[in-house]
Amino acid sequence: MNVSKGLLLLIFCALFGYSHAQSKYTISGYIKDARSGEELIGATVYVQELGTGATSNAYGFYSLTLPEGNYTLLYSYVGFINQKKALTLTSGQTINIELSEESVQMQEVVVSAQKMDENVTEVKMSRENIKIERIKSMPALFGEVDVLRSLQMLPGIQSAGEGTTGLFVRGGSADQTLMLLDEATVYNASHFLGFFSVFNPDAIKDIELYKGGIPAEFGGRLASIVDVRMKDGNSKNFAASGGIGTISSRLTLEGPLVKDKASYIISGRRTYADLFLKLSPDEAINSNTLYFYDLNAKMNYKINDKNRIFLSGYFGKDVFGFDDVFGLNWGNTTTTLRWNHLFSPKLFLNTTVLFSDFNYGFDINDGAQNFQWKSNLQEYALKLDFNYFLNPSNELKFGSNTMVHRFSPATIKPKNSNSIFESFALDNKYAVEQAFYLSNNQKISDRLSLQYGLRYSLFQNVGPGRVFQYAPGVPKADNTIVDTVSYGRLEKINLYHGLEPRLGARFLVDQNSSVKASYNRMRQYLQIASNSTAGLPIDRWVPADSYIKPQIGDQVAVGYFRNFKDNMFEASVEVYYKWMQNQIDFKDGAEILLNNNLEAELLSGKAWAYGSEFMLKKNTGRTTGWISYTLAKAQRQIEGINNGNPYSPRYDRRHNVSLVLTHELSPRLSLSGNWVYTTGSAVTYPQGFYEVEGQRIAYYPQERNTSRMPAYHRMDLSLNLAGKKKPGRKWESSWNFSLYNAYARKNAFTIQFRDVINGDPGVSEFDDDLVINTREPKAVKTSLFGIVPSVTYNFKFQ
Amino acid sequence: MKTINIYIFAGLLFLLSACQEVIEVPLDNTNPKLVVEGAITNQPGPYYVKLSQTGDFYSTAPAPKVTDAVVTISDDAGNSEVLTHLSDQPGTYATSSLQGETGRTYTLTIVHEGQNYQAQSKLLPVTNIDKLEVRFVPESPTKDEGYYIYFFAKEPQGETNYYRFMVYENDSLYNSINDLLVSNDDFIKGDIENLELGYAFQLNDEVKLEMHSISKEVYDYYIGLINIYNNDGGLFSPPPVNPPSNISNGALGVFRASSVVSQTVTITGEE
Repeated sequence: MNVSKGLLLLIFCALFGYSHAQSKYTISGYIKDARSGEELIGATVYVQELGTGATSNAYGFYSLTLPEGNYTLLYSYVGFINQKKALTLTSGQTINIELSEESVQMQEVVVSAQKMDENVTEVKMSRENIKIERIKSMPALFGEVDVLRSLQMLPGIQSAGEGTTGLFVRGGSADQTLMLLDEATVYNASHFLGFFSVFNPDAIKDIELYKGGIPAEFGGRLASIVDVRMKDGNSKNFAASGGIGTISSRLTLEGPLVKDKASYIISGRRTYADLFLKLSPDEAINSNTLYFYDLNAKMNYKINDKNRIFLSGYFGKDVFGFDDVFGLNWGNTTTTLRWNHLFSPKLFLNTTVLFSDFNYGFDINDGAQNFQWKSNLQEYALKLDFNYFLNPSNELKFGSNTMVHRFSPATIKPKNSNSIFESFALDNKYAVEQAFYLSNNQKISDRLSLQYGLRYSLFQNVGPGRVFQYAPGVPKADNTIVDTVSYGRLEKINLYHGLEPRLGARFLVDQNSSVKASYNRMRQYLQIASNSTAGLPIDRWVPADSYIKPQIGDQVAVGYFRNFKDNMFEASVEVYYKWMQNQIDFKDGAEILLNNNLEAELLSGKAWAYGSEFMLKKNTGRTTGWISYTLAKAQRQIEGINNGNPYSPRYDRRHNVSLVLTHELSPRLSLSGNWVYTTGSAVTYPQGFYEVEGQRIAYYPQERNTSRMPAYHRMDLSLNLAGKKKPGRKWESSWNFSLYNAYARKNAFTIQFRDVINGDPGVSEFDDDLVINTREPKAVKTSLFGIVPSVTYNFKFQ
Repeated sequence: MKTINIYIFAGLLFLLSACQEVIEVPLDNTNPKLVVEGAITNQPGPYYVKLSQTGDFYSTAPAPKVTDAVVTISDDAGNSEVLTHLSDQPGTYATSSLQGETGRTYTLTIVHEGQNYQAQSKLLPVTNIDKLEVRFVPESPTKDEGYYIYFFAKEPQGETNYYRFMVYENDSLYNSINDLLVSNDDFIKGDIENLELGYAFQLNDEVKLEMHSISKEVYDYYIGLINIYNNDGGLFSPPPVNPPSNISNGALGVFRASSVVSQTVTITGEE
C-alpha cells in the first residue's frame, strides 16, 4: 500500500511540477519505413544539442516538447539508415519521417552516427524484442519459422519439452504468459498440439516480450506478456510474398487501397501433410485428416492527420481426424478495431474494441457410442490507452481496460437417437475484468530515470450462474454440498480487486553502462486447470471465483547492462526473485474437464523462483547473434502434494545455454546456427513394482519430481541463399536449407517404465500374432526427432 | 472420455514416427509395501484375497507373496471369518462359509508383521443385462473383422453407479490392462441399446459377459490403475501417482464388494 501511495505522489509531482514560464513547442509526427510505409515501433528521435529524445509508440507516433531554439534531430531505427533534421523551433511542428532500410552492402560502409545503445539507456529491463527478420534467419523445425520457438532461445524463457511452443518464463507456467495479437488475447497459441505457434511470421511486424519490470499498461498474467503486432500493409505499392515449405505454404498480399491513406494486408498459411496421407494405399492412413491453417487480415485508413482507423483479424484452425470415428478441431479467432486519435501534438489516444474466441470440439462416432462435444471461451474488450508526452522528462501513460469473459466449458450432445449418451452441459460462467492504470517515464537527471506506475484491477463474477455451498469443516466433495445459490443475469456473485504497483529505475554509470532495478506486482484472474505440464487444446480455462482465488505474483529484478566497441556488443546480467501466491493444483486423478464443482478437486499453495541471466549479443558486422546462460530455480509448495514440502515443477531447469549465430558468407549467402543446452526436466521415477490384475505396475514414491531426465541439447543449422538482386527487378527469391537437430542427438521426450517384449521396445503386447519370448521391465526412452532436414523457397514481388 | 487422450497421443506418435530405445536408468528401491487384491460378491464363495509385496522394478521375478498374514472378512450383520491360506497357491487366502449379501458393508482386516491394514466396501446392487446380440462387422480402418457383441440394459438413473465388466471367451478371462473395463453412468441414458463390446469374436466362440457393481472408491482405483499404466512420464501426462487404494496404512491394491450378473452367448453365425 505504501509503495502505491508513493507512486501516486510521484506521478502528481511530475504532472504539476514542471510549469516553467519558458515558451516551449512540440515536434510530433510518425516514423515510417520508406519502402513499405509501415510505421516503425520503437524508433528513436535524438536531440543532439540536449542529449535527450523520444521513442515512437506502437503506432509509430512520437512527440517531443522543447524550448525555443535551434536543434539537430537524429531519427534512427535498428537496421535502417539514420536521418538528420536541422530546424529552428519557433512554433509547433509536425515532422513525419521515412527511414530507409540498410542494404547488406551498406552495413559495412555506414558508420552509425548515433549509438544503438537503447539497451543501456532505456529504463525498461527484462524486456526482449527480436526483429522478425532475425527470427526468419534462424534455423527452424521443418523449416517452419516459429516466433514462439525463437523466443525460447532467450534467457529465462523455456519450453515444456522438445518442439513445444508454450513459454515458461522465469519459473512461471505456460498459462502465466499473456499472448496478445494486436492486443487481443490468444488463448491457445498452438497448432499441431503445440508443435507450431499460431503467429504467421509473414504477417507480423513486431514482437515484444516482458519477463519482468512489466509496465502498468499490461496485466492479467503473472510471468510475462508477449505483445505481437501485425503489419499494417504496404501503403506505397502492391507487394506479394510467400513461401513453399516442407509442410506448409504461405502467401501474403498487401498494398495501398488509397495511396498513403489506406492499405491492407492479407496473409495465409496452410499445411499439407494431409495431402500426402491421402496418397497412401493403406486405408488406415489415408482415411485420416490432419492440417491447420491461419489467416491474418488487416486494413487501415487514415481519415486525416488526427485520426486513423485499423481493423485486424486472425482466424486459425486445426483439424484432426481418424477415419470418421474420431474428429478433433480447435481454433482461435480474434478481431481488433482501433482508432488512433491525436487530441494535440502531446496527447495521443488509442481506443480498441476487440473480440477473441477460442473453441474446440470433438466428435466420436463409434456405433452407439457417439456424441459431439463443444467448448468455447470468448472475450469482448474495450481499451482506452492515452500517451501524454508532457515534456522531454516525463511521458505519461494512462488508460483503462474492460473485458467481458464468457466461458462455456463443455456441451455434450448425442449425434443421433441411437447414442447411449444423453445431452449434458457444464454451467456457463461469466465475468467482467477491469483495469485502470497510470504510469510515468521520468528523467530525473542525466543519469537517473524512473518508470513508475500503478494498475488497479477488478474481477467480478456475474450471473447467470450458481455457487455450491459446502458443509463446513469437511473436504469439499459432491456429497458435502449442502446448498446451491443461484444468481440471475448480471447479478454480482463475487468480486476480487487489488493494486498492482510497478516500478523501474535506470542509473547510467557511464556512457556505456547502466544499472537497472525493477519491481512489479501482477494479478491473474484466469488460469488453465490442468495437472499436466504442456497444454493440450482441450485444456480448460477457469476464472477466479468464490473458491479459486486470483493468483498474485511479485518480482524484483536487478541488472547491469554494458555495451562494448561502439555498441557492437551488448552485455547484460540480470538477477530476479519472484514469489507467487494462490497457485493451484489438482488432486491425483481429478476429473477436470467435465466437472461443475472443480473446487472439490482443488489444491492450493505458493510458488517461488529465482535466477540469474547472462547475455552477450553482437549486433553488427558479418557475424551477429547472441549467447546466453541462465541459472535458475523454480519451486512450488502445495498442501497435499509431495507431503506438503517444496518441490520442483517439471519445467524447473537449473542450467540453460543458448547460442544463436548468423554469419554472412557473402551478400547472397548466409549461414545460421543455434545450439541449446538445458538441464533435464524434473520427473518422478518409480521405486519398485507390484502385481495386480495380472499386470506389473510401477510403484511411485510420494515425493514428486526428485529425479532428472537426461540433459537436453541440440544444434540446428541453416543456409540461406538469396537470388541475384538486380536494380529495377521486382522479383526477389531465396532458398533456405535447414537441419534441425544437426548432430542427431536422441533427446528424451519421455522416459517410460514398462515391460519390453522380446527386447524390442517397439513391440506391443497387443500386436497380432505376437509370440512372447521374453518380457523384461525396462526404462524406454522416446525421442521425437532425428535429423530433420527441410527446404523452403521464399519469394517477394513488389 | 479417457480415450480422447489416447487418440491424441496415438496421432502424435504417428505424426512424428518417434524413435524408442531401452536406456539404463538407475532406480531407488522402496521398502516393501503390502499389496492386496480382494473381492467378495453376492455369488456363492469361496472368495479370495491375494497378498503380495512390492519388488525391485528391474527384477524379472514375480512379486514376493505374503503367506503368513492373518486375513479376516467381516460384515455389518455380525458375520466374520478368518480366511485360510492356500498352500498350493501361495499368497492366496480363501473363505469357506461366508456369503456376500447385497446391501451389506464388508470389512477386510489384515495383520502382517505387526501391522494392521483395513478396508471397507459396500456390496451395491447391480442392474440386469437385458440381452446380448451378435452381429458380423466387416474390416474397417478402426475395426477388425469379426462377430461383435451388443449390450442392452436398463440403467437406473438419478444416482451415479459404477460398473466393472469382465469378458470370458470359452471360459478364459480377457485380462490385459486394456480388458480392465470400468464405467460410470454419467451422461449415459437409462436405456442402453446396442453398446458394442470392442472384441471381434469368431464362429463357435462361447462368450460370457459379467457385470459387477463397484463403489466410487473402487472405480477411482481402477481408473488410477489404467492411468498409471498408460502414463508415459511425458509432458502431456499428469505426474505419475499410485492408484488411490481403499486400504489403510499405506498398502496398495483394492478390496471390493460386488453384485454380479452375467449372460453367455455362443457365436453361431446368425445375425
